Amino acid sequence: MIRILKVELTKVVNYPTFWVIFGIHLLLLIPAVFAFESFVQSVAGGTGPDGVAIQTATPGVSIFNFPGAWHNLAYLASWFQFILVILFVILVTNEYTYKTLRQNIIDGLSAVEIIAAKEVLILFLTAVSTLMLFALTAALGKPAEGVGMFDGVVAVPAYFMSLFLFLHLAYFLSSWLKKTGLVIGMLIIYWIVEGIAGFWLPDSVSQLLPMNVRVNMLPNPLSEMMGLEAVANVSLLNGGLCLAYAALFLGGNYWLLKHGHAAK
Amino acid sequence: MTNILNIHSLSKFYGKRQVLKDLSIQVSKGAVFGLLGPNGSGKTTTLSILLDIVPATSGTFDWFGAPGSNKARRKIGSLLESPNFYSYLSAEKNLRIAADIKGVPYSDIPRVLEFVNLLDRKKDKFQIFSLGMKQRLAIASALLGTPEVLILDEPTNGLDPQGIYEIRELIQTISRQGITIIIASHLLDEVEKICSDVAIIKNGVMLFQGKVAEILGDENLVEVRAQNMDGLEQGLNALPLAEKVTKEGDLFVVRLTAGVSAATLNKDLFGKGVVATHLVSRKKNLEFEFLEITKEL
Repeated sequence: MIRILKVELTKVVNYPTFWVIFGIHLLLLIPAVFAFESFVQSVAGGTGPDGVAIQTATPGVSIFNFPGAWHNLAYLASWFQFILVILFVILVTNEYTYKTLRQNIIDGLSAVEIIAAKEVLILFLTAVSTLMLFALTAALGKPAEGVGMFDGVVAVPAYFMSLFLFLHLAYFLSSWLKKTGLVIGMLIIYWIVEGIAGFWLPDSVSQLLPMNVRVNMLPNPLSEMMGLEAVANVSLLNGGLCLAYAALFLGGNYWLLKHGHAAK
Repeated sequence: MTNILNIHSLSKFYGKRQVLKDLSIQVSKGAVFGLLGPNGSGKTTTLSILLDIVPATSGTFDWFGAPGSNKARRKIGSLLESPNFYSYLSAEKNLRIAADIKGVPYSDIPRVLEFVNLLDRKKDKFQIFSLGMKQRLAIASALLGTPEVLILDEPTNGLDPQGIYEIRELIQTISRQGITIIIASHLLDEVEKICSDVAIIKNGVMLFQGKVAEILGDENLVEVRAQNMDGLEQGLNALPLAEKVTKEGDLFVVRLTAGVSAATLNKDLFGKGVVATHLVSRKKNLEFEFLEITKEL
């Protein structure tokens, strides 16, 4: 196992694109958080941007207020997961484009070892991204009376699971389609298709589809913030579905490898 | 002699098209084995199956007496078609990846780089290498940990004459170290120069397997021409040492009794009053035999 880790580490650590995209992901979130806050202030704060009082104002609203801060920042960060997904797609499809996966197999990696190496990479990206979210929220969150700092912290594992699922979906599509642009295009198309399918399928079915599960883990918190409805939905069902999908996509990858997909 | 590789009736379909038909091959330890065939005959498919990147439709193979596995592959050095490396990594780091996969210590890297004459370029990125250097790096990678078998698929493809010469020298040096080598090639000249054994396949069917010397044989052929061709024909037919006489264009090809030299033939012909104007010993070459063998299909 150490052997496989060293192989993956050599590939990733020396790849400049990895650091650039990973860095962009980490750095973009900070200005985005403040932009989100100023947007919330402008629609729900005391006064609008031109100094006019807002009719629907919610006194003291802020995305940084605990316990909602965890959910608000996790929701915002979940949009930036797409950057990590693109990075991961590039890392996987490169191995097909440059036939290095084929070479790795020839040199003696088994299908399980190949998948284990990428699984470690998924866990690393997911863990670092989640830790960053945790640190950022802990630093920026504003305590409120009668609310413990960690009351809404369940949004952090929800963020972890949603990225975990997203990367596994991307892994399967990358192994299957092999071309960077095609995979990113298909991810977007699939997202849209799942949205459209939601109109025809009964909710009990459509809510079980992978992208919906992702979204349900971390729904848009704006309405909740304005006191309209409570939407936090980090259920055991969704968490279980994330794991089940991840296992399914890994199984798909194993099947592809065992059927000579790497050489086609 | 023990076989390092046994292939038992391997077949492969791509959709409905059958690219390998019931192929069985044995490679003995220490051989330089040439897998010979025209383009598209199934050579690369065969090697891909042996290295587990393409599954066979039916049939089995075993390496070192056990069914193929990733553990067996670590003892095989391979260069399939083009060299595949991480373009942004240096030669040395690319070899580290291969070394980690094969379970070979990094201390072996300078040795193989030195062997292919790339040690002073170890810090250079793969992407700036010339094709010849890339090919040499691939051979270095294949030699990591001193494999028991080396598989080379069209090793001189796309190289200039200098590069081809260098690769051939390397292969012969490696072979002298006792490493079994399997080379797929459509270059007959190449196989004739370096291989001890050969299998000829066409359209996925095995046409011949045996020693290269066996194909080339020890037939003793001489081309003869004279001004008086009729006199020559009568003279040849009257000579007991001429076992077989065939007319080829404007000359006769004579098969002599083993051990009889062209000089003896010349002397005997002269004795019969025939003066040869052209007398050449013909050495069989693989190209001719290959075309003969593959014509049958």
